[in-house]
Amino acid sequence: MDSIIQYDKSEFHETSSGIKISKKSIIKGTEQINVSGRCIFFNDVILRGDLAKVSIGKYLVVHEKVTLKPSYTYGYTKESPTKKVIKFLPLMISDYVEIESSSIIQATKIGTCTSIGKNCYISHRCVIGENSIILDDSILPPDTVVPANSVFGGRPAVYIAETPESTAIIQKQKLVNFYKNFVPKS
Amino acid sequence: MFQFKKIAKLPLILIQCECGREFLQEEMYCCLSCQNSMCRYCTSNEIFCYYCRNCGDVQITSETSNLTVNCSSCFECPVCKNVLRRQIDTEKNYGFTCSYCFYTTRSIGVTDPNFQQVYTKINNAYKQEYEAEYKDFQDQYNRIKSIENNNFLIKKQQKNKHVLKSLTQSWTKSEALIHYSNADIDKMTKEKNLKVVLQRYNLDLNNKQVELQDFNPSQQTSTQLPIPLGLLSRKNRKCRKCQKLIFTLQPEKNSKKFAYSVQNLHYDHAPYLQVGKVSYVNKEKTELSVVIQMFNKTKNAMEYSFSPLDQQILEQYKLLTVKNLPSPTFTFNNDNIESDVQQYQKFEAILIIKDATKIQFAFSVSAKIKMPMDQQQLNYNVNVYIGTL
Repeated sequence: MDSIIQYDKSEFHETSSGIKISKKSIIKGTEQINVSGRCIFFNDVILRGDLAKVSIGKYLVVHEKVTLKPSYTYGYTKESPTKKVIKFLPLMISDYVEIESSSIIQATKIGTCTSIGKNCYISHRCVIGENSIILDDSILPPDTVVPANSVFGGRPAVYIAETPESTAIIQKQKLVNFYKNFVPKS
Repeated sequence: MFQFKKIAKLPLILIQCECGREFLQEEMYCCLSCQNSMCRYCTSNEIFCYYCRNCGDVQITSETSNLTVNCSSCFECPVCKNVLRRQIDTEKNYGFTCSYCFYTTRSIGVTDPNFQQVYTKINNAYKQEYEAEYKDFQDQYNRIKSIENNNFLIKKQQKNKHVLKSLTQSWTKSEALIHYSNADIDKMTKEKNLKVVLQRYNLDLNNKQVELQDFNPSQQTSTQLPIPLGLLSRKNRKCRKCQKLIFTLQPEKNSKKFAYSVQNLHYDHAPYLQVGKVSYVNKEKTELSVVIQMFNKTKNAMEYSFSPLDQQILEQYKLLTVKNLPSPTFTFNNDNIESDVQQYQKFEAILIIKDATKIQFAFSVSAKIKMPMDQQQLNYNVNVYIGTL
């Protein structure tokens, strides 16, 4: 049985597509942010859409004190063809993702049905495959590739185990129930 | 393999397999021919392909005969086991670096303006270090093979003559039949003054490479070579009793992804149970009432019934008895299924908590499932469900 979580309506914005964002979160560059719907952003979440495009799927749950920042590379552009300049890469988060509190994310892609633990640091240009789990207190060095159906953890994060075939079902159920039980106080 | 029982929040309902292990309902598999559900330990694995976790390079077992154990283009840091990246110097020499502990191959001297020659340098350095050990190992292997061939020929001759002789009487012990124990191997390594503490032989006879790898990265220094990245495997699952496939993989066209062509989960063929409200019945708090919710997550009609377990089993595992399990069978009909609405039923069970240290109860469920395509009836064997609060 999942416990019901009640929140103050005065502390959260709610959109027509079911996105619930707390008023204490910092969101910049809303023009470049696409969210498909039914997402929850808790307090002190920082979402930087001013640096590059951010596209988010459905049933995303972002807990407290999480920063979501697009990653970067050094490269040449039309404006500066001779000197290397910082280029920001777009951030893509798929459906049914859960991000626990106090973690910093600078990945380029996060696959479906993944869960990221507490106090994680996912550095720039990382790619996280689907149905994968990243354990608490782990650090992913830059350019790491997390394959699908895998568990990573440690400092630096290393392949630990394989996830069972039913992780997609478990993760979808968990997040759909979480969203249904996240209810305003009557 | 990872187990979700460790992360899951209470109250929980787990299923007990025939082997005695407990798993979540979503983690159990189902064999339709045996009409039984089983856990991951009661199924056998068959390797479908090997793949590299960094570059995604795939080697399918049925297609290739020369399979390698390690990726040819990816390496691991010997200090922290992180995957290495390419690096270009100011002098335009290629090499490998670790982005976590800043280990570089430049410190060893393995850099080259041509990137492919960096690989050959690393392979040659490995061969030079372990050439002597590889020769000894090859000699030992050839000796053992020749003895086994002789044994086979003599066994054939003995069969033809119809004479029964024990091997101990006919064979005398020789040095070749002695198998080296771990203590002997340690002595041999000390005699040769090797600095490495723990070793294992990773034999790859097709490519004629023997790699010795360390287990203690904390004792590594920055003068060590980068370690070739080991391949991971994707597997098919089979029932151990009838050897039929439960989960099979199928590669998608023009991509490195894999999809499941056959998947049989217990979840798809049995009622899904969940714990609802929990409350005390008495003021003395000796009886608990638990509402158990039942869902039909399959697309088939289902009949199921409950039955209590023996008291001996309950006392042995210190499980509480469920006072009023419902006696008639419950049914989920196929006619009333809609796309978004789940079929749902519930019953209230009462537990007696007197003199109990932990609140854990168990009962058994048997199900009959009507499959519309085959027009068969699946009689599921009894499954033991255990609830913890």
